[in-house]
Formats: sequence, C-alpha cells, structure tokens
Amino acid sequence: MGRLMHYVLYAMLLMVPVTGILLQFSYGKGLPLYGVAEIPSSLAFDAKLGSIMMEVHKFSGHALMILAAAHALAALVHHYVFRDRALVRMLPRSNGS
Amino acid sequence: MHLKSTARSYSTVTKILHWLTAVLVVTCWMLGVLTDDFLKTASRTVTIFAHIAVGLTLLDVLVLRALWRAMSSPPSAERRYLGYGP
Repeated sequence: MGRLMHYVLYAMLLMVPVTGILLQFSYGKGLPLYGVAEIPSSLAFDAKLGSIMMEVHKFSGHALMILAAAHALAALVHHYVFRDRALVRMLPRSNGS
Repeated sequence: MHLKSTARSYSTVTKILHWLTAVLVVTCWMLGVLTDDFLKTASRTVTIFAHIAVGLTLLDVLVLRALWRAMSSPPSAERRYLGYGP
C-alpha cells in the first residue's frame, strides 16, 4: 500500500510542474528562470489548451496536497498504531546503526 | 551523516531531499492558492513569479531525488500489516 501511494505521489509531483510549464507556454508566455533568464514559449498561442492545462494543473496540485496529507497521516498511523520505524527513520535525528 | 539507507534510518541525503520536497510542495501550493483565490489581478505578478520559482526548484529537487534513488538502494519496507505491504 505504501509503494502504490509513493508511485502516485511521484506521478503528481511530476504532473503538477509539467502542466504548469505547458499552461504558461500555451498562453504564449515564457518561463522565468528565477528572474535570471527566461525560456521563451515553445508553443503556439492556444487559449483552449491553456485553460485545459490550467484545470489539470490546479486539480493535480490539490490532489498532491490531499495525497501528501494522507501520506503524513499514514506515517502517524505507522508510528502510533503499528509502532514501527516508518516515521522515525525519515526524521533528522534517527540513526542508521 | 550517513549515506546509506538502512531499515532503521534513511540516508542523510534521502532525508534532506524528502523534507525539502515537503516544504517546497506546501509553499508552492499556498502561493498558487493565494494567487488564484485571494489576490486581485494587479498584485498577482509577484506571487506568480514566486510560485514559478519555487515550482522550478521543486522540479530540480525531483530530478536530484530520481538521480539519488538510481544511485543508492532504498531500504526494505516495513513488515506486512493487515495483508498490506510488500
């Protein structure tokens, strides 16, 4: 169950920025790189594609937050109910030896 | 500081990348919601810029995570509970 959750989390982590970049490009806007440089839009202006990408971007962004909350809750269940090291082993202080 | 993940503890690199992801995801989401639902069009420029900067950093961290994952082996999962698990 943890493995499936991790794959979905990784999928959303990738989906959100990719659709974000695509929506920016399809509205004909460039991608600002921290104010240092800008990648010009590589797509032709397409407001319809842009609005679809915007919807997918928002939906997957909210989905990512809900999944992350479920992920955190699962870590707490492991800690307090299963009483294993699933949470502890990701904490800064935990030791490998 | 340890570089190898074990069943007892993830490697220091894994932990840094994991918690960095957590902070960036929450920050980016808040900036996105702030821009979309709470600000007037005129004041969106700054938050959109920050949203994109944080999002791109998140993408960088994601690439580093994939590289680190390919270079190191993750520890085995916890034992099965209620029929779930590896």
